[in-house]
Amino acid sequence: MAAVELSEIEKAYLGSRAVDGLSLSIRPGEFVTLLGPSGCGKTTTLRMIAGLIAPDRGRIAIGGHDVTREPTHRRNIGMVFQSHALFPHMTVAENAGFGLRMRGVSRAARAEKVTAALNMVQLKSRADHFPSQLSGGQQQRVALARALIFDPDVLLLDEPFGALDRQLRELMQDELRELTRRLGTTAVFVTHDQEEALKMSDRVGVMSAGRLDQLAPPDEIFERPATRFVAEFMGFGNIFDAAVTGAHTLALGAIALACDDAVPRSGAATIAIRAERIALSPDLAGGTNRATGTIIRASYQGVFVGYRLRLDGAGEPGLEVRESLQTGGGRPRFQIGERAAASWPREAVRVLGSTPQG
Amino acid sequence: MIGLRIAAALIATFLLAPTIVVVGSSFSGGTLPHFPPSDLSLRWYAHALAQPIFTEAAFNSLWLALAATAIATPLALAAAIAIVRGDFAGKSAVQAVLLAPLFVPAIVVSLSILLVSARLGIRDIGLRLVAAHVLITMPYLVRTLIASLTRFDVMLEEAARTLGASPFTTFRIITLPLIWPGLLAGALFALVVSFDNVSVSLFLTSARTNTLPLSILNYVEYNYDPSIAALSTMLVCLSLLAAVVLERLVGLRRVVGS
Repeated sequence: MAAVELSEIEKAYLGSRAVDGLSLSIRPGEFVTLLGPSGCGKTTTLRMIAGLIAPDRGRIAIGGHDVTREPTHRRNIGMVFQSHALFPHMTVAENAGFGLRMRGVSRAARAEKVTAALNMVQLKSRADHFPSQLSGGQQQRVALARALIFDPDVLLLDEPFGALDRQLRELMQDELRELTRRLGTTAVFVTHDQEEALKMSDRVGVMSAGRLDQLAPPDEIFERPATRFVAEFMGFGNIFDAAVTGAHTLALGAIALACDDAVPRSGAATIAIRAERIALSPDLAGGTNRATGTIIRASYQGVFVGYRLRLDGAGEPGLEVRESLQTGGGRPRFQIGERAAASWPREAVRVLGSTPQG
Repeated sequence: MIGLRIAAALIATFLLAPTIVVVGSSFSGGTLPHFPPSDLSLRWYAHALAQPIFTEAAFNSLWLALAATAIATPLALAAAIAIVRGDFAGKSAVQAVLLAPLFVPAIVVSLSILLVSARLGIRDIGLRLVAAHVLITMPYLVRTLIASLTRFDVMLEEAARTLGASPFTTFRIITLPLIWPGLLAGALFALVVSFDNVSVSLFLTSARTNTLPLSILNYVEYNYDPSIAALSTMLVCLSLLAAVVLERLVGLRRVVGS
């Protein structure tokens, strides 16, 4: 039985579809992330699971019960907001115990559980403080304890770490993941940060225009994007429409490509090659999965040098290459205007599941 | 810089002067108000408090202010919630109507109440007065409550609901405590506005049922002694007390909305 089941849910705002026939089945104890740019419908989806927005169409079930028509307060969900939404007029302990109080748990039993929950997020000593006296990270920990204390059927998180600085964010990500794993909590996490999504999730659902483009484990999302959108969002850097020339061969202008993926029988296929899987060399020899060109951009990015290569004999805008600085002994190896050859292994050529329109 | 300070001092003097004169002359010992008072005395305080027309009128005014505020506050709260949270056609029109008594001449308001209550056959003066005062106190309540609710983070209510609080419980233990300063300020404004009102009450009172400001007005027509100054001083003290209470309870600066 699925912990959370969304069936064909739909929500329109002013005529445009924020969520467009989305179905999703989440297993008990699973950590699923909805990933996408702002406006893709991920937050709307989360809020529909919470009951804060009613879907126009479709069904929502939590723990096997149809809750589509249940108001939020009868859904037994825990939710963490980006702005943490702690009650400013209540102490940390009162905030943490709020869900238990609403469930009619006695004061004594509540106190015990609150202590345990605050212990869990290392904030026991702050029980009598008010939220305004805590740091951003501490506030978000209280929000987490508050959402978990009554053992919700599902924990919903709406960009909970978006307001935190990078270091704190990484720490909180680790803590949250450790906590949900230990407690066996089913969680739906919403973010626009692909790194965060890949790092934390059992499965990632990439959303665009109200639809789920792909739902898969992080490595599959990263390595085998199903659509052009997912490939772009996962930072592939190079996405081309190539002509099919054989069972595993394609042509991009004059450049011959070979790949492991199956290609359509004929016509065109959209392919993606990760910028960091491409190697540059001064040896301008031709061949399959090789292309020569001129460097038109070289930008130092710390760990990487980013190059852009204008390809000879191809109409495409160019090839994006990310080369580890180590390759050049800590310095960029090529200058703008220099000639270079790019090459890549055949397994780096990904044929995307669907061809884009137009 | 110095010029600015002098200007500020002049303006403050201009604003405070009438009050100072009234308070000062209330301590006059003679039969006419004098400023500065020639010989100090509290006799006019005793005199004012001994006049049944004042004490009865003060009692009427107090009741009227409390009743009007008690009725207007929940109405204004409901209206403010609808205006801030609601999404309906004619929202700005509703807001304009609720604030209208601030802009419409008081004479028009009182005349309309008089006509409507005559049409409806409402003879009871108390009822007419309360209705009129609810109308004129609403704008003050609606305004402060709209300000409070606009600043209130709706996400707090959403958080409470996800934690299992019903809409009513959410309102009672999350929303209400957090908009309390605005509610209290609005209610105090309403009390003061109602208690001070002359123009609307003028049309609706009778010789037997009077409010304090009107009885003062009547009194001044035929008498000119410092008891009016004494009464005014007591009213000023009451207003100051209200401000102090407000400051103590919620912080005046928060109420005024800095």
